Amino acid sequence: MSWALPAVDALAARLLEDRLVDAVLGWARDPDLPWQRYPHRVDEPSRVGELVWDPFCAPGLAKLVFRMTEGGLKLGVLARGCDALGVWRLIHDRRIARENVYLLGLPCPGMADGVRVWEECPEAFDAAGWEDHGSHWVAVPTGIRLPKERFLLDKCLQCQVRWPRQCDEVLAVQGGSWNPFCEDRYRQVRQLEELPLPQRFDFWRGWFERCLRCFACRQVCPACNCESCSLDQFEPNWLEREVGVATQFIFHFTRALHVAGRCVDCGECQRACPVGFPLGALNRKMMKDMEDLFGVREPFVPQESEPLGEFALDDPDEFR
Amino acid sequence: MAVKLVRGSDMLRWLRRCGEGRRWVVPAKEDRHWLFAERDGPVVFPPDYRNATVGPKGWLLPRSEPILYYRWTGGRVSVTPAQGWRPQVIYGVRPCDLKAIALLDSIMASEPWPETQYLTRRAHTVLVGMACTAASSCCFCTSMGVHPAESYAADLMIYPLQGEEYGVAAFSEVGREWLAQLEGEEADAAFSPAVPALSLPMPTSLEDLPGWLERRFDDPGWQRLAWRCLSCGLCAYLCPTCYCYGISDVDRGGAGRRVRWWDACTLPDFSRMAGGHDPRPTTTERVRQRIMHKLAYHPARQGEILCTGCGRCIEYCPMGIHLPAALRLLGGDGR
Repeated sequence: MSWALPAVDALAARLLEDRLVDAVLGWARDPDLPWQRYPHRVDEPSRVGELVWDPFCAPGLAKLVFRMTEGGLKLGVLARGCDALGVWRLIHDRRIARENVYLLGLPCPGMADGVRVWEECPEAFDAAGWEDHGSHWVAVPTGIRLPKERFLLDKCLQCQVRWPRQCDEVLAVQGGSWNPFCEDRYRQVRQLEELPLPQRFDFWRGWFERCLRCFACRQVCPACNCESCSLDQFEPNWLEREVGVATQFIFHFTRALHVAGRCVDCGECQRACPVGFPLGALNRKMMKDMEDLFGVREPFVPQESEPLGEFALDDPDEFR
Repeated sequence: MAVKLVRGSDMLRWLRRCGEGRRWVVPAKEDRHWLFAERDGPVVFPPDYRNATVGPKGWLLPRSEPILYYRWTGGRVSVTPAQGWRPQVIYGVRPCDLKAIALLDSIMASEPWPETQYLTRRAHTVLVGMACTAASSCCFCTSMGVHPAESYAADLMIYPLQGEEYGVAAFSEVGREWLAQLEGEEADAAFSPAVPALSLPMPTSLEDLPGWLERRFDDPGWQRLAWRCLSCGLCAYLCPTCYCYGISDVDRGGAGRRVRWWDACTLPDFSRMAGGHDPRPTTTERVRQRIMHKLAYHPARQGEILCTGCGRCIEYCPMGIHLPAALRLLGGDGR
């Protein structure tokens, strides 16, 4: 099936013309870097042609929606599964008002690592359009086939939220809900759980040593939406600025526990990390616990009430 | 170009001998990512090595380091300066990073407060550079006046010639001492360096760039670029010339250490002052500050552009904010 860019444009234009939204958030081509698409805002129907929807729309949009709607802007959002859940995270966390966003759902066939495609197959960028053939993306009219197994972004390889849920409308033209590349979402978690404790610790210590603590993971995360982060505070100084195994442990585990039960599994943390820290494994461990301990079937889908997000006087468990 | 010609295996043996007793810091591939890491000696690079994601900066200016230790006893404090260096060789450094180290050298040595810890570590470091034979997808050194075969801060420079053959040249006292121990034939070799992947849309000459940018301080282009910045420190931490730091104490009841750590002007609390005022309250001011510091303020004061075109900020910014986009938007062209 084809990537229906004209249909996306038409929908965005209609929303703007009908004054359903003040602006539409999507992606645009980077005029300097052929492989790059960056988040782009369009305010007028005549400019919807600036939007692009193809296999290179890597950046997640949810965290941007947070800041953009702060002043009451009504925003249309081109939302893949991951973007939609991120926006719902912010809605349930009372950070954005439901009526300020209009979610235009785009079923997602997975996004490619643009730099990698540029290095290995630059002629792919001559395409006028794209088709999704399940295991490949196919360029139109050149017919160049890009195997997903080779070029999918990490976050998309492991994606379990391709279908945009809880959207105002869904442009059901391509993609689907099933990701053949992610048959077992807890495979890496189980592998790590099976490691003896010393090896498991060594695994994480190696990553702690490599982490630069640049905060990219936190800044892209739609679940990290606190007004002020405990990890930034000086008084009390919960997290020393000194970077060592102990403080990195505190940094990553504080974050994992603060988003436990709230992570939407969008994979943006892993995409943003410049050194490839397997943050997804950490977050999926929390998800697995949500399933095992609280019986939450889809722990990545934000709910009005969540096991770790509410307080009940008749809670069956005591604080111990 | 006058070099000593040597075969790869002989070169590694010679380097290892000269660097005995020193720590070896070399580009190492750790699942898909190239980093500068401690290894037991120099290595031959596989053909896919262009430059490391995280450059060698941290081995001279660590991510965090103690600068002194203190202890309170009977109302008096005793202070011991930290000793944070080991003799080291940093090997396989690309010209963009070598130029960046040359820039850091002059910044760190500037009066009235030379950074003794950096300078001490630097004095005990031998830099072995490697000229570029292949460009990475985002590098643009020549746009910034940096050349992919130039030695800059290097003590020794290696030029990959053909197959197993390398040319080596020395550019400092210690470099010449080391080179004297290398058996090899002196020759005049021709080296054709890589052509950088990107050429920036420069609106004006490098000399006029500071003024051009200063005149655009209030340009709406800054906002059009920076609205999507998420305020992380990724660009600054990967940047080979970003050196801003903060200082805090790790106090453990009457004794502790004063620690210096990387900071970044893109982080939201970087410029927040006591009392709560922040002169750079939004991403627009912060992104502008970072780019202006590199391309306008520093060149105007020190005569040197603080960007060497390594391309890391282009490749890794999760929201696609980069220098070419800044120059284009400020030039009044486009979105």
